[in-house]
Amino acid sequence: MSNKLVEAMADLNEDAVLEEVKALKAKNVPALDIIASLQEGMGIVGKRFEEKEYFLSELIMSAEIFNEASQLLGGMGGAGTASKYGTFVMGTIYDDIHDIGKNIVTTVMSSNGFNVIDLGVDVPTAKYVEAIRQYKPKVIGISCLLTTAFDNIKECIQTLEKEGLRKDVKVLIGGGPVDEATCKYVGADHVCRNAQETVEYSKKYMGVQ
Amino acid sequence: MKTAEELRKEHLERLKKAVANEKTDRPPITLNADAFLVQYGGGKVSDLVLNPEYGNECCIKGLQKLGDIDCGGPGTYPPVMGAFAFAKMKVPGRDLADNMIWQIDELRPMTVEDYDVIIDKGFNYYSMEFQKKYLPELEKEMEYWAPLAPKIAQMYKDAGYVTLSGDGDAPFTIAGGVFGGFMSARGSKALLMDIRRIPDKVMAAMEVAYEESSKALREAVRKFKPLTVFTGAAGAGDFLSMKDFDKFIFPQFKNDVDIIVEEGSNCYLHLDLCWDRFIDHLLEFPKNRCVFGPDGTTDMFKAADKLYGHMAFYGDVHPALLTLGTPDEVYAYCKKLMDRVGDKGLIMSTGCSVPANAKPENVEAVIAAALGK
Repeated sequence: MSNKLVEAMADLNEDAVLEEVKALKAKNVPALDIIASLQEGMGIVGKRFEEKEYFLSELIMSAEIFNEASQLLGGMGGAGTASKYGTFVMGTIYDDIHDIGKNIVTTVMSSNGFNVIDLGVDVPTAKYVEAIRQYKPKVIGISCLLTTAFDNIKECIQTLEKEGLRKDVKVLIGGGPVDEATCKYVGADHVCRNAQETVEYSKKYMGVQ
Repeated sequence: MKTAEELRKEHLERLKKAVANEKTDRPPITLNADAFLVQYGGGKVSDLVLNPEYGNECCIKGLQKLGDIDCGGPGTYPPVMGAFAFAKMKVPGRDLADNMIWQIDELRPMTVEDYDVIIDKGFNYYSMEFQKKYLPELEKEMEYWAPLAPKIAQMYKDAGYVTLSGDGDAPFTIAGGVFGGFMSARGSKALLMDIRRIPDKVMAAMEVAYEESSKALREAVRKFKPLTVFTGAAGAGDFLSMKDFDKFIFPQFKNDVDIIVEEGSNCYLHLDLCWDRFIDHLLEFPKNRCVFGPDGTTDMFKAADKLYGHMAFYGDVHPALLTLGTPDEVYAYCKKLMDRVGDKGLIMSTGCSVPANAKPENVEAVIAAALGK
């Protein structure tokens, strides 16, 4: 573990992170070890977010720095860590084209060790079904910014049940108008109020320390 | 039976008192509810797009059916709404099914290089170039809407309604904030990274844009003297640290409020996302000249602990409650709100807007609570 890299990542020092990754790579430090240091730093970022020292701009910046650094190592796949914590499937439900929240969550999840499958916006139920069958995620995320899409989320989750897929997957929902009552109404497992909460819930559910 | 003019006078007086944070006989009611009202009044949401005169007539019928509502209008035509958001609009009847709510399809055209364009030539220039390039159809939509807008606004007035922002001869006046404009143009994610990577450049461009917008704001308020100016600031919630909020957002927001008040108008603070962290900032605004209008996300009651007595309150029944709750739950929330801040300066409304699929009986419960039924 490179303390210098952990610290630079935690402090969002972009130049120092990239410099250190290059230096470690030149010393033939295995890509997996470098990634581990970066993720250690990301863990500190997450903690600072929870402690209200960092906010969304810092969270997004950390994900960007992490992605840049992993590119130097040949991408997450190249580093051999693509599914360190498993796969997370996410999209904005059909009849809703909002993508800001969804993009923030997928970016942050990706940089926290999850293999993210981003289904995009206006996603029909069939696409969720297909993605769950193909990628076998333990957790999926459904985003919406419109109350008119609540029934669509409900229909999607009911379909997952009918298809026999619901018992193997936790369904997280999020978006402006979504609250606990919505969660109960649509039959989801949890409401995530921000990207970091999605990371924490998914890690906890998957038994990641 | 009161005439429309008598009703309008009564509504306006009640609203003015509430805005000034004074005691009223009951809270004035305003519903930002076009997509709901058009259906409640017998039409389809797409009527607002395909036949805006008829669609707005339906909204008026919806208002009348609900009871003695104080505010309505000045009129809705969804295809022109993208002009504020650097976005195309997807609208019912054209791109969406008849009763779906219109949606913003963000284009986020602004690049890092565009900060220099804005610094050199101004944000107005950049916006005009953007519209020419990406929204050529908007000009035609504006041309179509321009003569209709005053006609439709008059329909609401003739039915006895007043508007919170832009009543009388004043048009709807908005001070949306430069940060919000940049967020729309550049995209939230890119802007949030820019303010960490190139903060000085972002600030320089924002200062140029703000010089233009503040000048236009002062001129508009001086000329039209609307009862309130719709103002707010994007970037609350969890977006920014307090340090960045104090650097990139609050100074301009405060200056907008000062301009509006100096020119004799008041501020309707339309506050999207959670403002729990920033409530103390709002105490810096002039007393009894602002209306605190959260969108259902901010804790209204905690905010009231600090702001009650300093400014009026607007709202704020949560959209999910209107969609999924029961009339009793909605009524209870409204009564709780009235008990807390309702003895003066409360404008009964909903958080941001009434959802298109709100249960009619829930909206009726909001009105019943406000009317003391």
